[in-house]
Amino acid sequence: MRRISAILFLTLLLSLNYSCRHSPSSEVTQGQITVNLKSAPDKLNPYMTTNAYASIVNRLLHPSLLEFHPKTLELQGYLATSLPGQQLIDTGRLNGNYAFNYEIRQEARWDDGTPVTGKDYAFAIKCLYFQDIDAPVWRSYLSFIEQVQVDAQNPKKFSVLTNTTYFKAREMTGVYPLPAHLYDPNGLLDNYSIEEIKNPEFYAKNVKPNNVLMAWAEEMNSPLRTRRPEGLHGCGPYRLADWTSDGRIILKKKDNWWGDALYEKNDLFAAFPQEIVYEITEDPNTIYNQMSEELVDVVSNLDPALFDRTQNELKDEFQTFTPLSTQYYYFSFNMLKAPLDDVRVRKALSQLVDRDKIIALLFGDQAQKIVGPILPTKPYYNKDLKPYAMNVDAAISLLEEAGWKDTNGNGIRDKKLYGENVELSLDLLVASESSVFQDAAAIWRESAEKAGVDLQPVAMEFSAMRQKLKNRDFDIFGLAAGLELGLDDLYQQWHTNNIETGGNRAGFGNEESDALIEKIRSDISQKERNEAYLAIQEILHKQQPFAFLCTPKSRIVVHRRYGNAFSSSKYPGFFEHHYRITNELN
Amino acid sequence: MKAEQTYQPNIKRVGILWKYPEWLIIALLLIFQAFLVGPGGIMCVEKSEEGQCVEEMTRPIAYDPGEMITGEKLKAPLTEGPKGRHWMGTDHLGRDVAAGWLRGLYYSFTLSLIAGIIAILVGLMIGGLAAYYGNRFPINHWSAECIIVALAILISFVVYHQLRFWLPGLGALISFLFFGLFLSFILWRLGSKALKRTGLIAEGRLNLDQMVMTGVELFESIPALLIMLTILSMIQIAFYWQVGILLGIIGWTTAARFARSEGSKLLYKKYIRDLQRLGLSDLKILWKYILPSILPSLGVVFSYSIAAFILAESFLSFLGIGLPGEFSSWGRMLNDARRFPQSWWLGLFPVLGIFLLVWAYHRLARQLEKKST
Amino acid sequence: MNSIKAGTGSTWRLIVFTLFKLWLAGSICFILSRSTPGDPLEQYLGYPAENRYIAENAQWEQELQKYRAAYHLDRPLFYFSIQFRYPDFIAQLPSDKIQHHLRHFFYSYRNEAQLKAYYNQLLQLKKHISGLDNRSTRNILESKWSDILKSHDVESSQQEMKALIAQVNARTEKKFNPISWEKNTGSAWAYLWPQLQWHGFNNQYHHWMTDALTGKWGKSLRDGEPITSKIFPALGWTLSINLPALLLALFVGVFSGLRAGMRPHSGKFSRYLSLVFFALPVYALATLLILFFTKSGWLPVFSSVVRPPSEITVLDFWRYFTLPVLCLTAGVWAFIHQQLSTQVEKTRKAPYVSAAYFRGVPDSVVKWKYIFPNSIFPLITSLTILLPGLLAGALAVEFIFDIPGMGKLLYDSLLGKDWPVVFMLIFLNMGIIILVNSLADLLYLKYDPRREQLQYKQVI
Repeated sequence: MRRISAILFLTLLLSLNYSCRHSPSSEVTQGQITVNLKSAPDKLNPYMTTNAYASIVNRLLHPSLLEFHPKTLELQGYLATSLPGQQLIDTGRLNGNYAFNYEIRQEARWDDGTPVTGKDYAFAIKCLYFQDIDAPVWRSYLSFIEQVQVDAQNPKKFSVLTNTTYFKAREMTGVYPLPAHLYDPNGLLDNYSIEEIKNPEFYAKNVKPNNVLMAWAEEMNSPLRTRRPEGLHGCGPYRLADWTSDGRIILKKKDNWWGDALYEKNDLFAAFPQEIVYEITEDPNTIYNQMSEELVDVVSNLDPALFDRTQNELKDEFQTFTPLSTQYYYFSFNMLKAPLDDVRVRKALSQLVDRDKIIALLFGDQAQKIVGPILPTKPYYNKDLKPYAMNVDAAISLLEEAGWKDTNGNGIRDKKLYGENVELSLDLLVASESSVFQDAAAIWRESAEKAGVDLQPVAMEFSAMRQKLKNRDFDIFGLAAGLELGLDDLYQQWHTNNIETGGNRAGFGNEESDALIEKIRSDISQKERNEAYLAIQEILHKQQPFAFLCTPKSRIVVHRRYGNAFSSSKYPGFFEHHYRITNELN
Repeated sequence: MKAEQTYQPNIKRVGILWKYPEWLIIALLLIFQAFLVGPGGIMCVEKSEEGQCVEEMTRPIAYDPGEMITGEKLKAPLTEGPKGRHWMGTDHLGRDVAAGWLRGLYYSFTLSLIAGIIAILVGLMIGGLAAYYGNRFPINHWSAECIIVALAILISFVVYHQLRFWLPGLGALISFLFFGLFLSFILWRLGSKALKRTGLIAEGRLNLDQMVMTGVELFESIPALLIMLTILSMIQIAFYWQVGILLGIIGWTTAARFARSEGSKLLYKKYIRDLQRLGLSDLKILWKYILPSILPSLGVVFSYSIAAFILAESFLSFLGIGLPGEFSSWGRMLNDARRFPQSWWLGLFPVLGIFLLVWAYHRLARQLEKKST
Repeated sequence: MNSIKAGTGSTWRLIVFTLFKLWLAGSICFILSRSTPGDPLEQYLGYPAENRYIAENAQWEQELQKYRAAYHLDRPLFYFSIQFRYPDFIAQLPSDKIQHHLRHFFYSYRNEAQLKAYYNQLLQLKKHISGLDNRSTRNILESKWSDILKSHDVESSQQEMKALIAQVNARTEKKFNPISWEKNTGSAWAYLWPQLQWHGFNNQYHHWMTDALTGKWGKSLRDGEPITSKIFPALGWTLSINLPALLLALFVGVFSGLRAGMRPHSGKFSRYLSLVFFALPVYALATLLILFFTKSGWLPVFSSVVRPPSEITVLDFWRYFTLPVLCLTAGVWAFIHQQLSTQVEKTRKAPYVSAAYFRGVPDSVVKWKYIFPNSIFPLITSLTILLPGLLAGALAVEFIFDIPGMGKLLYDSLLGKDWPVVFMLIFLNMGIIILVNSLADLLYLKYDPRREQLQYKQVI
């Protein structure tokens, strides 16, 4: 009896499994596209987050004034009619600095139908400078904006006054307006000007003690304004329809979205899917399983091995794209410290990195070697320079030349430094979260051993590692950094002013490179600037403060039913709102 | 006659090995692993007098555990590689699975043994103290109080003095310790009546048993992951056995529980009480009578806890926080294998390895259990 | 089991004891959390990208400092700290690094005058080096200067200092002379006596305690959501995996355990199976199953589709939960089976069972009325041991099948240093453990008459 019941139980279990294997296409309703995100976004206010996943969702909720066109990678007006006019201020406190004159499109509207105006932009900047709103990073980025003057006749026109002549200021002022009438219905901020809010003394005296304002700021920070459908408003094509905790984010297209009328002229305003679902799954295997069951349509940065498998096993269902991503991987040397203050040692070490092996094994051949911190598709990328190739003999001769010889016969080179015999043994910091860097470090270590260099990979948590880098307490570290679609500003990472505290951790720089960086940042013609870019890349290549590795390609997978799918270098590489079902497969 | 007598046990010993084939396999693998895997895949058979190698030989497993070969991704078991046969195939980075597997066995085995020894020592000490001194540790005399407090202050002072430069975070810990000590001292003086009701102190005696069990419960309620992550972020793991020590420090509670319950059961046996009445010293009783009688069941706990440490280590490495990347670990191999279902060997061999070791220890424990009852 | 004993006043004692334990556990977690390096605030506010323009480097630091103040992270850790006495001027120095460095010299030589001279020389050197014209030499010398400060070893930093001074002297007209240290042997022990520094109530621990006591459990640092809105969905997920697994394991385990105990020779297969599952950890089993099913491709059961548990239909459940539940069941079943079968085997040999057989009581009645109730007690306690573990997370299963349950929440929050969530989860976990322990005691007391005899009085 018991045996029978057990058998019955098992058959029941199995039969239920079979009976519920419903056909995959039944889950896909017309006009719905499912996109995988590796991690949940934190806040859906563009100023309050630096989270990469939040920015994917935010670009459909809160469009900015200026956008890069995903296909041409050209900066265009999105909410603004065109790129802003740039003019020099000739009077008053800001004399000699730039002002930018914007005009917002007549069609642009918020959720509730009210037009987007210059006042909304001014409101966004006020929010940004409001000290009790959690936007510290963006506050530091845009600290050069001083005033926003809205045209009295045409509220759609406004000019942004800055305190700088910085060459990227135009691009950077094209940020996101916020709905003043929805986020601040009582007009609390109308009583204050941007300058007043920005002034710390005024803020401490008049704003901070005001309980109403503090309560308002608290509300702006709260999940209501950053995570809940009922409190979140934007002027983008989609609105947040639902967000289950750590589950899925559902965006629905707005009825009568204003951009539909503009699509004929410019496909920047494409918004085809009626519903976009962001499925949050971190585990690569689960993502792959979801793909094979056709539960997800768009995946980016798929695990290299699984990307290969997709190309073989799921090629009938999925199309694959490999655009260059806007980041690069590097190992940075500490140029301030012996023995890496010697350029020959740096060059030798750079020649011991087997970049081909790293790309083949760790990136599944989906990466491109680079020579400098500039996206390889840029016109001013220095194509004459060749990335250092793996060459043990050349490295050995460089080390010998620099005086590193194995005198005590332990297999590790040594040299007399400050009257002491120092072994060529270096710590290599990598983040324990990144398996790519740990494996790359292992590959490097293996080849360095052949040249008598002792590399010791040390894996530590990223936050702990950051602390060490901040104190310049390292020999070598490995990290990934971002690349720009617009013009590159090399000041932060390569200027000698930032050696002590800023982003120049390698300690790179001399008069020549500083002059070039300053030249690039000044107001010169693009031709001159390109020449300066080429020159500084050459210096970087010769000096090797970094062993530049490669720019990986984003491994993007899109379902074949989206026949017009494309990808590009613009983050995140896929553009789900452009994708349209052209051929139904099942 | 004499020869026979000495011969007899030998048969028994060999017989024991045959009775435990899994131990035979493990022992052979461990003994020969130095021969099977080694740097460069080459071994020196004969050395000249100057230490130069005269005759070289390719090892059966001709690859280093961490050696990545570009063209050798995901090769099936028994395929020929550039240097030799891949007995268990290769993984997605072109590493030889057999070399990594054997090294993983070595790490897993030694690491869990270290952890087990530490756990059993710490647990035995704490649990034994709790059982033996239970609630008969008199501190109702003022001198005892003073000695305890002074000792504690002295010890924490010395420890702090030694560590203050290397681990600044520990300073906080120590001052917390001071605080706890002062607080308990004041509480003890002011509210011993109230304390008596909580059971920590019974009738002018410190209830060591209760205190230890509270400590055990507390320790068990704090997630081991938190403790592990905190310690791992403070120190750098440079040797695999450091992980073993950490695991041992985290996992002593089972042994302590066992020692306490087993010990207190014994203490109510009549002969122990008689021995005490006879005036034997505590140490002598512990060493000569109590320890031998709990030894078999101690073996059981020891084997089971080693098996648990093997599982813990491989699970932590599976999550990516146990052994650092440069050490081969079965858990890490298993986690990597999940992405390659077509390459069955990546998943199968680590699972077999874990199973073999854990099974061996479990079987040992069961046999000991049978013997002790 | 010791936390309560039957009798009057036990509830009161339980409450006091529980609170005491919660306080202790919380404090330990607090210390552990503050001992981990890395700043969670910095992590969650976001790092400014390296290739972007920031007007002033200092501005970002100021912003960060403001947030640290808001979370009281700039306050001292505890009510007081213990400092070692050293010359006053060291304490007033702005940089921790220099303070640290000078302290080492002080403890080695205890010569205050020379220490001051040494400090002045360091400052002069720094000033001199930064006045050098050649940028690259300047950089190198500056880095060497800061290397000296990093050193913990008095001897080696003296060597480094000598080397630096030699280099500086070679390049410039101004000449420095390295200090030759002399040990002051006078007052060796007076300096070693620690100094207690009182910080008052405005410290991190106090703020943390008062917040906890007044119910301000805080928000998730990551996204500002209240903690409950993170924990309840996770709890739902965990329960929906664990409860079926537990029930299934109990159901199968009771039958198989009884059977194996009654007829040890015919129950060999289940015995070995349970031993195998005992030695095979959940994550290994799950990985093997996934590999097998993915390869064969005939059971699409393992990919988890994240939907709130409330929306999951029965079909969904079978489809996505079968494999995780089975994986969890295997281990629990093996445990129950082993416990029960050995216990049944023992009880079967008891005299009163034999007597029942001889009296001609039917087999099934003996089995269910005599053997089963007497074999189930150890199972009850072991189940109560299992329960908190099951609730706190079958982390392995949740990790492998990507289920956002309690184990995964704890794991993610721990790795992400989202401390408010971690604290709440730990307190919840403790609460469950304490509750379940007392439940086990009560059950034991109520259903097992033998406990009376086992309970020993304080004899010694």
